[in-house]
Amino acid sequence: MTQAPLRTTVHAMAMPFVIELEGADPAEAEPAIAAFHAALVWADELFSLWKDDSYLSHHLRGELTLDEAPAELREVLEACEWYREATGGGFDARRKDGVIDPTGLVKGWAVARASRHLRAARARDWMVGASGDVLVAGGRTRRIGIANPRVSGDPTGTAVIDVIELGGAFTAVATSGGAQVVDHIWDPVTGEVARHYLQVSVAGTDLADADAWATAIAGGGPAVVGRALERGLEVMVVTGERHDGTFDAQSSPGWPSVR
Amino acid sequence: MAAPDELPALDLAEPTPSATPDAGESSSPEASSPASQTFGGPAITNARGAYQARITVVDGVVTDVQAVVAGTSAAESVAINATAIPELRTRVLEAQTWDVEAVSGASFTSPAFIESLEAAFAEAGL
Repeated sequence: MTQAPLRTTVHAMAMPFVIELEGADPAEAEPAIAAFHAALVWADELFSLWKDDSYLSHHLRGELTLDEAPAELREVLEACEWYREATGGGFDARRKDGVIDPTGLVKGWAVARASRHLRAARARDWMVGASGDVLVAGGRTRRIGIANPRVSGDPTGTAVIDVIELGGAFTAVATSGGAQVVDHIWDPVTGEVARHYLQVSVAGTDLADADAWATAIAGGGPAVVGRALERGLEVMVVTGERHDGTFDAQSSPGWPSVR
Repeated sequence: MAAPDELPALDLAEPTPSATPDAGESSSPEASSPASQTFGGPAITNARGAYQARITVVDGVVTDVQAVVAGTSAAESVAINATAIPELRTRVLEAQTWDVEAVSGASFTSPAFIESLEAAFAEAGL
């Protein structure tokens, strides 16, 4: 009856996505994972600014109207504007040069969307590790670590600074900032690289939402934290590092720490 | 930047002469008085308003830190200072090896992608 979890990794957007299915129908698991992967690859073809031939690149060069592009392009660009409003400007996809860069939203959005395909595998429980963001579904809870902000690369198996529980009231966690990509989040108000926090983690029930708010708090600082809390999200920010290697952090009252 | 003595909110009164004064303290208006001394920091202004701290020192030990001025009186700033910030719990965290099923951290590039990129560069003779 007990069957080992099926664990596999697919790559898209130059990032690894780990899928773990428990109690899945073996015949359904493989096509479900393939569909999940294909959805991510498709999102990359739509949104990559690294690729000159993505729909977004074409659109930004004025070669393609939103009406001519897949509806999801409009959906995500509109979501960017929605989050700009909701976060009081903390999340602002407009770069200084005027180019809309929805990258801060795309990964979470794409994973949340692609994950629908995993339901076809009829797994009892499943988890997606999306290059630092985690999404779970099913009945049981899981202990998820919050990475040391100084660890670069895949934090799997490294010492963590906090442990939270996902699978009950919270099913998604996203983390922004830290050591991975230097200077990739800018403060929409000052136009400078954001240096509010070493790392920002947001727990919620929707990966795209948690991801967007984590990015917004990293970019907009303390003012955005209050707005996230009003929406029922829970937040932990790493504010500094001490000489002894410990970290100063702040967490909201309902942050699901089980450390 | 305003000098401390220009700020009306700054209150340097109420020394409590109960112990031997520390002659080494000279930066305070109360330098000649006793053990409990207050020191006002300069008002620092950032995008969210002015901030000024005041510390109380007893026998060389800081016994109190107060925010004399914290933020502007703009509605949003007051709301943030009054609600959001006090709700957060301050913690000191140490990286430890815990039993977890996954780790949430900032996005990272696939090692395989980097490997592939390196191979592509090598292939290109770069």
